[in-house]
Amino acid sequence: MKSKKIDRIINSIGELSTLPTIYMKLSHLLSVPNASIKMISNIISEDPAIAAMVLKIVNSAAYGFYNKIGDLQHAVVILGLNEIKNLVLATSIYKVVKEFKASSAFDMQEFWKHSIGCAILARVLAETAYLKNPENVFTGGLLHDIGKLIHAAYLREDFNRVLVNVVETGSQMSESEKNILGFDHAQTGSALAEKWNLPRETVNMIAHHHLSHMSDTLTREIAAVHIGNTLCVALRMGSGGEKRVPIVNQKAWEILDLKLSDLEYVVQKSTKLFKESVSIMEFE
Amino acid sequence: MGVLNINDLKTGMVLAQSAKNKHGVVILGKGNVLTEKHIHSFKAWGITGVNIKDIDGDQVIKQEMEALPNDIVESIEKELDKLFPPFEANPVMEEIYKIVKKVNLRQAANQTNGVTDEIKKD
Repeated sequence: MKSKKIDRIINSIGELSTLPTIYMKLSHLLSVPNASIKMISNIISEDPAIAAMVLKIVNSAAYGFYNKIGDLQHAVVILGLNEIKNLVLATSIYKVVKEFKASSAFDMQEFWKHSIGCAILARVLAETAYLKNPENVFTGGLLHDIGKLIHAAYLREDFNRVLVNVVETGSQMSESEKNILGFDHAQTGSALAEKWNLPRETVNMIAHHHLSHMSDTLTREIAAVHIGNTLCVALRMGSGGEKRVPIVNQKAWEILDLKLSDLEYVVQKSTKLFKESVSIMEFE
Repeated sequence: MGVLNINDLKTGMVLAQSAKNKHGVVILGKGNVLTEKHIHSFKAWGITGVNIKDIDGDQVIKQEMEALPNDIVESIEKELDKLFPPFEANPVMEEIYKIVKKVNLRQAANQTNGVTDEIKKD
């Protein structure tokens, strides 16, 4: 029953129902063995906003190059293909978010900051724990709350009640959503990610980032997003509407195999990266 | 002894336990007195914290609290108690709480210092 309701919502949404073509083209090209750097930079240059963003990031302090890099092909080589793919995804979704007409009670700018913050924290956790693909964890972190966006735009009145309920009861948003809507943003978000044909791994990071059920599958990637989200709320990097810090699942911490002293390092490194990213994205 | 974050280390501190990298290789043995060079190589090896003799890991945060006016510390603690739901016997949450408190205290300290600097400029 519940899943039918989610399917109905996912099928009825307009702008969000398909991923931007540039991301689809790029994903396809990266899966082809003989794709060249030139082909990839040609696709990126089709979208001037994204091309500009790529150049801005490669010229940011994080990379620390003395000479300015003005050539897209050069930028692609420096950033690497996975990083480029994630950057294009982040930028395309940002463009959608910016033009989104959501309930006025839901602050889009804060939501986006929370998404970026969680993505960075999850990636730094993944790097520190030597996971194989920190970039994919970044994507998972970026999209972990995307379901809230759907609720804010397509279930406005009910979602406003959820937001009020979170403030009044101090409960986690997913709990309020389950009580009021019958399902939570992890379910809607993962349904959308499935519709976008994102990899299974990414869908799972979105679906299970709360780790609220015993039956939830736990991977190290999910653990990184789960803990990244808690840190992000605790550090108040943006806000996805939560009023209280979600408790870290101890099994998730164990599976990451980190030391407690690693956490402070993760926080320091991520805070620095977060400030830079926010200034690059230029919120108005 | 207590574990200190890499950024809180100072030269002259004594290692209570050998500092090891991720693979368990000893980078600097127990009993060594830290120099600038040691701290630098810890960073290069990705070591995030080491065990220091005669120091309590919480001492750093206590010192920072003492340096701030009482009402600021109190308002930070009050805010964090609202933000954090009760957690019992969860060492990760305890550590996160400690880190966030430290971050907030430092921000408050920077702000108060910033204000006094501005006053000085005037």
